[in-house]
Amino acid sequence: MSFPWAEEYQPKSPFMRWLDQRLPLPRLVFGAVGGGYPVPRNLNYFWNFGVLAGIALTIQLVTGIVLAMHFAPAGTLAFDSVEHIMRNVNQGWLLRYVHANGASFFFIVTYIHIFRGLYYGSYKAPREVVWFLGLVIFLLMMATAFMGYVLPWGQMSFWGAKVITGLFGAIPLVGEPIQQWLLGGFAPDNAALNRFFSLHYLLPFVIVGVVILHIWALHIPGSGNPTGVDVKTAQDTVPFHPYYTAKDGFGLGVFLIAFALVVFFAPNALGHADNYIPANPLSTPAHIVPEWYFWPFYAILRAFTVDFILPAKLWGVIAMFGSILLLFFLPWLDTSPVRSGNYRPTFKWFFWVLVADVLILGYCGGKPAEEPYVMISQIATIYYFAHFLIILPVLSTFERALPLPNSISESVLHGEAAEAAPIGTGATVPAE
Amino acid sequence: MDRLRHAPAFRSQQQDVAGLEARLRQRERSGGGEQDDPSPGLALERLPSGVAAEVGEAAIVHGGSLQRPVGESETAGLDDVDGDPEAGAEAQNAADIAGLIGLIESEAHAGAIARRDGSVIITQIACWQTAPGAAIRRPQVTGRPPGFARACGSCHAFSGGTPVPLFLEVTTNRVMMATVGHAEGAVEGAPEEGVRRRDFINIAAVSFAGVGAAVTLFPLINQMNPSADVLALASAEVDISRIQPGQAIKTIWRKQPVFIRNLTPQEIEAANAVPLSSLRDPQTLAERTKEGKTNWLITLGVCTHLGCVPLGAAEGENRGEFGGYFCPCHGSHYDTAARIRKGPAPANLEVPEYEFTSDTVVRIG
Repeated sequence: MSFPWAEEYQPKSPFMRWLDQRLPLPRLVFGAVGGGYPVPRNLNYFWNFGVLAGIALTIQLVTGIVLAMHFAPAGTLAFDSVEHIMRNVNQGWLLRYVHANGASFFFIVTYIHIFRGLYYGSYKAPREVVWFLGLVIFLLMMATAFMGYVLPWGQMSFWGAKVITGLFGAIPLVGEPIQQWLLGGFAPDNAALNRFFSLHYLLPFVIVGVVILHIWALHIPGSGNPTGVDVKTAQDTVPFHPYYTAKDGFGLGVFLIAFALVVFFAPNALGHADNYIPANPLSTPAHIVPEWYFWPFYAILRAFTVDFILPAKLWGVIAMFGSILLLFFLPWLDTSPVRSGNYRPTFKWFFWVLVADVLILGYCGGKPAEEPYVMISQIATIYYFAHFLIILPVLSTFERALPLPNSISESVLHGEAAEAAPIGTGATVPAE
Repeated sequence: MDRLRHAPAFRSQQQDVAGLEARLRQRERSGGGEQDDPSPGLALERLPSGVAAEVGEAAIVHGGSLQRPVGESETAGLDDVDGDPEAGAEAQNAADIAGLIGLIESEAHAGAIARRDGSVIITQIACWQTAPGAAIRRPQVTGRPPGFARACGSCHAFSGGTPVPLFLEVTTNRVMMATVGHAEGAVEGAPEEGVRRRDFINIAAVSFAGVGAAVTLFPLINQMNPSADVLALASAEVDISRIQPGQAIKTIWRKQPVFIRNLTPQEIEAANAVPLSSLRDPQTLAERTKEGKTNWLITLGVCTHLGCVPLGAAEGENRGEFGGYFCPCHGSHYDTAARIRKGPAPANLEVPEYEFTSDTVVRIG
């Protein structure tokens, strides 16, 4: 499960030795995130975001369990119970703001984590399963976040629930029965709110389970690294503890500072004022948008405006789900044997175009469904799919990669500036 | 001056200082063994004996990184600087240097070496310029005993009659160090001793995180305490104008039943007739009521045994053997002052905090 030079766990006290023979949990932790896990010595700060996502998940779990002690999942009580949390419960305002903004920060670090993987080829062999499990986590996160946003039972909650479950109504023939089955009625009401609460409480623990599998699968080949070159000798690695616990600790400090700034100084900046109006089935807000982390997908959903064989509505739903399901095929769409974008001069540019494309989609998704946003969304949607279905396969065939360093340690020993470039080309090819 | 405090953390240096006397004696015996040493400031045998006798009380504290103690050999280390910015490390291996204040490049550096009683421990401070023409600020020095000062570049050693903090500013590429004598024996195993800079950073960082985690726990725990809306119901006003003598009502305060009973004169008399010594929880009726309002007995309707609601407040209910209250759960009998008289309950029915806001209104809580 690790490199042969990984340090073996040595119990330090008689008690730990006793425990190790009966329940080797400290041994497991030591091998997973302790001194027994050799990690490439050249990881940059983008490798902090996996740990940060884990911490964000923990924050959501802890605050969520606490908030559930005060929340009432019933149509007539939910909105008031959230206000009760804000006004009456001791530090309830803090716990709720941490939970609400914690979701946003969870998505921020997860998106950076995903794009890190896209740039450095983390989805390539032998880490395909790590990538799949990550995508499963992402899908579960989206479901959990959506259902969590319904719980305060404000206007955006209600209409968000209505719109998202309406997506399933687009499926031919069985769509409407499925929508009614999901909601337990014809529109969101008590039944929907109760089951959403139940699932919103359940799914994070499912995520924890998949995270464990994600880390397990990662530890088989070991972490990737910015050069994409495999670990070859003990010189290429350092123990996870203390080297990366310290580095992650620093990243965590920065993350928590940013998080605290938002929680304490702009707790509603990422939300919608409409959600402080109690749900009203008779009045739709002028401009319904999901939370910001769904905007790129929302833009794809709305980009389809013309019926073509299938109704436009169904195309939108297919494209939206397809945009994520597509990522499951990434290991076979990008067949270049070079992992790191640092050594792929053309891929590198297309990568940043994709980042810009997703940001544009996100921007359009947050805007009303009117011109020019619809047209921009359409172009950006086409590009999104073209990137994965056309550009990547073609690039993999034609791109000529730069020479790779012989080993991680060799690339490190050539200094920080040359690290991103192959040996001997550091002067001519500027580092990223 | 905080820096002059005896600092147990820097143990190896203390040992260096403490061993000064022994080493000096050894140097005296060895005579000309160091004659070829080109650093005249190392002539430690000229240290006044009065100083050497008390070195053990000294402390060396300085703000820079701690140095490795000095090895026994390589006496020529001090002048082995050769323009190398790392010369400090070299010099640390010299036999005659300990308690180094050594810094490289532009880190402002302050050091103080003094004894509590004011006599001087520092034997030498030396500076080397490694870049030609680099300016050296003259350290603030208040006097020096003969034989101790040593100029090197424009930097001077110091010593004086009072504890003198020594501030050395290093502005550019050079090595600076102060030296004191030490005994060879003090060096043994010293690198593992004391607190390394990294240990300090580790402890500080983990402690800081620990404090943060503890503070974070506070809202997570405190959220389970009664919330503001619950506390807002913590007092209840009751109109008692319609309770006739002999009658009682049940009301609710903090989600718990409260009995308000208008005692008849006979009941008051019965309560007062009981000798206190016979009570399990001795209290007089007067202690359980407000002055001038002894007929108003206000108690929680919560049996002190296991929390059931006793009978006796409503018309026709069993009032027990003593005419007060009777708890049907486990058979506790309370008298007309709601004092436990018989049964398993350990205490009298609790009298809540209350006051009469008027003759007919009581505010409980």
